[in-house]
Amino acid sequence: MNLFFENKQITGLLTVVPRHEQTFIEDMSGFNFPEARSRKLMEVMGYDKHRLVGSSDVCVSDLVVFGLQHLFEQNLLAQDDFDALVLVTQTPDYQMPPTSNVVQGQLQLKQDLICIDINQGCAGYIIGLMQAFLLLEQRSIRKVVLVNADILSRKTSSKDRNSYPLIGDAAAISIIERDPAGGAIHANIKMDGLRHQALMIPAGGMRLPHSVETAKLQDVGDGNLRAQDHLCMDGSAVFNFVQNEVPAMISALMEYAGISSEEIDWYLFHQPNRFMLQKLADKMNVPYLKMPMNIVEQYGNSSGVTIPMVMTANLREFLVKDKALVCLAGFGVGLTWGSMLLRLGNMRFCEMIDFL
Amino acid sequence: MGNFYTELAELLEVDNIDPACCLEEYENWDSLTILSLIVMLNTNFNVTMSSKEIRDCETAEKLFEAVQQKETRTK
Repeated sequence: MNLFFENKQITGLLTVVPRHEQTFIEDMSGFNFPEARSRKLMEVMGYDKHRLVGSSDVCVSDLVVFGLQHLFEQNLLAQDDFDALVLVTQTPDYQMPPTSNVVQGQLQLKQDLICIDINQGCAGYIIGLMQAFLLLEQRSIRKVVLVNADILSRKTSSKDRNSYPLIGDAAAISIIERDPAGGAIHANIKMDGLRHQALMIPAGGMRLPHSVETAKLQDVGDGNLRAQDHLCMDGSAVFNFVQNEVPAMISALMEYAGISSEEIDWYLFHQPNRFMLQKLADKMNVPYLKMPMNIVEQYGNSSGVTIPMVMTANLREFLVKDKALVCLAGFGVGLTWGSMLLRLGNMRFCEMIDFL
Repeated sequence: MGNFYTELAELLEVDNIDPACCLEEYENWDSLTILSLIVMLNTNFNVTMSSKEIRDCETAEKLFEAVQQKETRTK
């Protein structure tokens, strides 16, 4: 579906990553595989290290409160300056209430604040921006704080070589506001619930409540062990989905916006891993230099947080000083695939901090 | 299509492929090889195969036939 927005801007961006860093070599000790095959996996996929909370009690709201407090203390955002808090996560603190309300309470934010949680994954930045732009149609909403945060390490089996080496924990806080010079923003979003099982956490909801049974590690083939409480990813189905749907979506977006691919300065895409992004760039004829791919090997794939991670890890100075035409794209859980074309930059701040 | 067996041999890290040999018997026939195979088929042959479709083929020969069938269908 084509969507159009105008005169909105991302005016500030902060990402928060746990300080604890783990290497693939360390992860390997948990796998039931010959070491040579694990090293081969590392080489093919481009794994190296990732950031994980490393303790079993850190929640999404902890990362978010830490990040917002940093912004308040540094005078980058005032406590009463924003009128909506949109929080996109798949790993909420509770089933109810929304984690955005938990954050509101912990920071004692004002009551005239719309708090909304959205359950979205790898396309969560695109969906979050869409929601933020829609809220800014209201005159009484001056700024929207868009939060993307996930702690996937607590929902992934360390004995599952399919998922564990690539995931990472992180949070991103984006400030979204009206900007008369913001210009046109074109977007394209598609969903396919028929393939909802390609990426899922089967247990813990109402369909299959958490129990002793769902917590038991099972051999799911190929020597991988995981429980039904864990993230389950059909890697090859996801690969085929990305290769088949994403290039078509991007060409449709360019056509809709009347822009040719050479005009785009950067392709800031969700980061499944280096391998998948290279194959995607090859298929789309995009030079690797225009598509940063280094997030998974340095921080891990933190689902909806990866697009902001690409920005703060690679473009932090540029995005404060200058402006560029960028194509954002997220694809995964749902299945959902979305893309957005906008001019990005002249931010008030663009930085990354460690969660202590 | 002549290089199908060569590519497969490379993925399995063996010198050559016996088309009639059961794929399960190769030491490196695992999810990583299957994913690499999916990518190779997508890139070199413009064919999309699922891991289940690949695992359903017992031998390299059967796999080759399945790929050819998909190829003619897309043409």
